[in-house]
Amino acid sequence: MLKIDHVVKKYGSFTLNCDMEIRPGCVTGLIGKNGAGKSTAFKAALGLIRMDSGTVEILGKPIEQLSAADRQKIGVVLSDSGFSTFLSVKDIAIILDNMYDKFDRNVFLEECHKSELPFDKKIKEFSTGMKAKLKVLIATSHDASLLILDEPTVGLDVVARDEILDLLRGYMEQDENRSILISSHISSDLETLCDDLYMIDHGTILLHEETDVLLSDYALLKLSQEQYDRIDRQYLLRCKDESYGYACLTNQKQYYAENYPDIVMEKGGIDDLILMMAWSPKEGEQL
Amino acid sequence: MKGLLVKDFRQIMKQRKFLLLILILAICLNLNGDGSFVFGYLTFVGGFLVLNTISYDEYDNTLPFLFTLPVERRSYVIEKYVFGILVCVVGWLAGLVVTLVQSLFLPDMPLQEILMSAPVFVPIFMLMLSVMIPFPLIFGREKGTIVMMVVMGAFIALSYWLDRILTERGIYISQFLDSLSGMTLGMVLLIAFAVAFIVLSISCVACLTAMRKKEF
Repeated sequence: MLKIDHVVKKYGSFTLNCDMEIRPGCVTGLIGKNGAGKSTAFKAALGLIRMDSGTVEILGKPIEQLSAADRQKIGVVLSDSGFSTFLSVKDIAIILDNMYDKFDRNVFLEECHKSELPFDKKIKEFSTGMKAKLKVLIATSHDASLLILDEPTVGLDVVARDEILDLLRGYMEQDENRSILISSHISSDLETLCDDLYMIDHGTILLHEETDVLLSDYALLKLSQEQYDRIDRQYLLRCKDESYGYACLTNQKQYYAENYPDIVMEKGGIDDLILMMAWSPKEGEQL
Repeated sequence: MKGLLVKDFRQIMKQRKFLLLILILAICLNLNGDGSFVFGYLTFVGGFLVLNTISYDEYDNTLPFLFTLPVERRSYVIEKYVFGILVCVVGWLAGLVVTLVQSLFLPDMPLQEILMSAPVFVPIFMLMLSVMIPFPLIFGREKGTIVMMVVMGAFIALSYWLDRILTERGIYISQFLDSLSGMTLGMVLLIAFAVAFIVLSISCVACLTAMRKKEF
């Protein structure tokens, strides 16, 4: 569906160095702290920036060769860009009707009605949640095979986020070959939605893992100095100095649970993963 | 392109009260019977409407999103020129309607003379578009205004310098312009349209090249 192959893009001291693949029928998440390179990766995937090297393929075609007809099969949400906020839902329905072959104006307006979006009000008068819902409804309105969603739930409360995740689940249920690439800061969103996750930091992909594996095999070990000195450290991915000793991230939870039953172990979540993987050791600290 | 044209049309229709006010103003200012004013004024307003659509696209950072839709960069640029010409034609036709209606109430109005000279506003407007569209499209509205002022200043200075060089060599531009007065109105219009079309094409190609390289 989407393949980002050795893409390099330099902005001053920042360098994006990215490899990703989104398979048919999968929801893939991209996680990372602010400024990690998520939006730059999305822009590269969509051809909005020129790459220094590497290739991007969408639906089997290099991004440079993607025609307007090919773009009909892609739905996009950008965190900082969308239709002019001086337009209304009714205006957007007419515009989309003139842009997409498979857009159904009545279905779109019905979905907007269900989401309680007013038809005649200008978008600039919408709440943050309403704007976000509209963006997702636009992206899913024209039978796209691939959705590329950059922070679609940013700034939303838990109810609005849940509604958007339901929209995305509904979209995936309609066709098993559809795919989604999504980025979010909210770990619970990605844990429940994504089949696999990429983690990016300082423009580089640090980790790619199936969500199930991440939730079942990753754990945060809380070790005293004595425990840290005696345990087998070959399955520790990151270790960080803490007041009690060390916090260590492992992807072999079972191994440590069986061999060191006395150590404190917390289930590894995406938040821990971001905190540990994106943590840069200072001099004298552990890696 | 159809979708983009619809988008720009819906955007300018958000200003319909303002447009109606412009039309009323044009009618009032044309009451003295000098019908050519209304053609110039309404086509000139059209130019600013194109700039408004570029501003709308810039205001909410809409451009990156537009290029994720089934819209090629090339289509976006061409659409702005097509939209500009369409607005020009609509403005010109509105001027025609206003003039014809006013001529019914103002019998002294030199209608034939006005209608003969009115088409000249179309190539003038096309030349205006050639200058007005590229700067905000390539540099953005704010930076584009500064760049446009610099380029216009350089153009005026270059024209002055060129005129002085030619005069020193015994070539007078005024003589060339005087020679045009011997031509028929049809010929002048034909030349004006040809020049405007060439300049507009150069302007469009420059925008296409810049837009192809633009990053978001």
